[in-house]
Amino acid sequence: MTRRLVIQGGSESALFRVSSAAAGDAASASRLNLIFDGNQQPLRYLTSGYLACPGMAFENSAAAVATGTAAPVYSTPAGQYPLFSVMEWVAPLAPNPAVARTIRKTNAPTAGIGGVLSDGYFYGLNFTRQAQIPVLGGSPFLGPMPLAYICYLIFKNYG
Amino acid sequence: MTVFLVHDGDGKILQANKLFDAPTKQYVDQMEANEHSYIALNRETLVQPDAFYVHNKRLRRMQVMAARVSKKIIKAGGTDTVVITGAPAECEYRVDVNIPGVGTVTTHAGILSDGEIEMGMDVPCLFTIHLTKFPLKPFAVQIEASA
Repeated sequence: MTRRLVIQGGSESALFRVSSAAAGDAASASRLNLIFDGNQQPLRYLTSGYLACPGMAFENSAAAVATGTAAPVYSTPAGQYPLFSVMEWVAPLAPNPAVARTIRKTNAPTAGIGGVLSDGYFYGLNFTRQAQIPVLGGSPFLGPMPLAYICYLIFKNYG
Repeated sequence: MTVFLVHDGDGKILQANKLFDAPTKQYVDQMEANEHSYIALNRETLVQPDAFYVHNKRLRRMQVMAARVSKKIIKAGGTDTVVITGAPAECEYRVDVNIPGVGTVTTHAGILSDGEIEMGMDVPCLFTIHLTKFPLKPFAVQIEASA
């Protein structure tokens, strides 16, 4: 008999399991087939914050600027892996909101930001290039260096 | 909960990191190994980098820039100008013009040596003058150049 729901206590089994439609029998399903499983830790907050990340100088045409800053990464129990989720946000009221302006398709040649969590560090990435500001009847000048505040929220799925 | 604030030599906040668990020795060691200047605060919320800074290992609130604006509506295409006075010397300025359908375009940027700026506008538009001088709160005022 295929079971969709197992409520079971014991030293090694889950107290509560719900199977997905694809899982078939919840009692023997692998954890990848489950949409919720008491054996798996739910997501918990690990850290949240923001990181200021400078942009690219105008003459810099290839490289992205990355800033490495410490983020806590804990060792996980054997057989388990940390899960991280990173998202970014641009503050339009930041002291120098060049990225916010460039994302609205203005006068910087390139734009884009992001973040990577790796090797115990959070790296902010800012691909926004310094704007060259045209002057009517004169030679253009360089605008302020772009600066982005990259916000992140990091989860863990263990302990 | 603990909020770590990493700051530069001026006290500008470069990173705020809130830990939902107690900070581990590994984390603090990592900060020390990378020679970050930081303070750790026992608080629930992050702090805004354009409203706070760090001075003498303490969190300080930024003061408001005491700039005065002569008017917020000027006549475009003439000799009418807006004058901003009272800003600190050597503050950075930036003028953004709002172009409908395009967005905001920076038209002027630089440093005000005496903290004063006078500006007219050739065409009717909305433009914003930004003044920044650390560790004061950034100042911005929108001016309408009318037809």
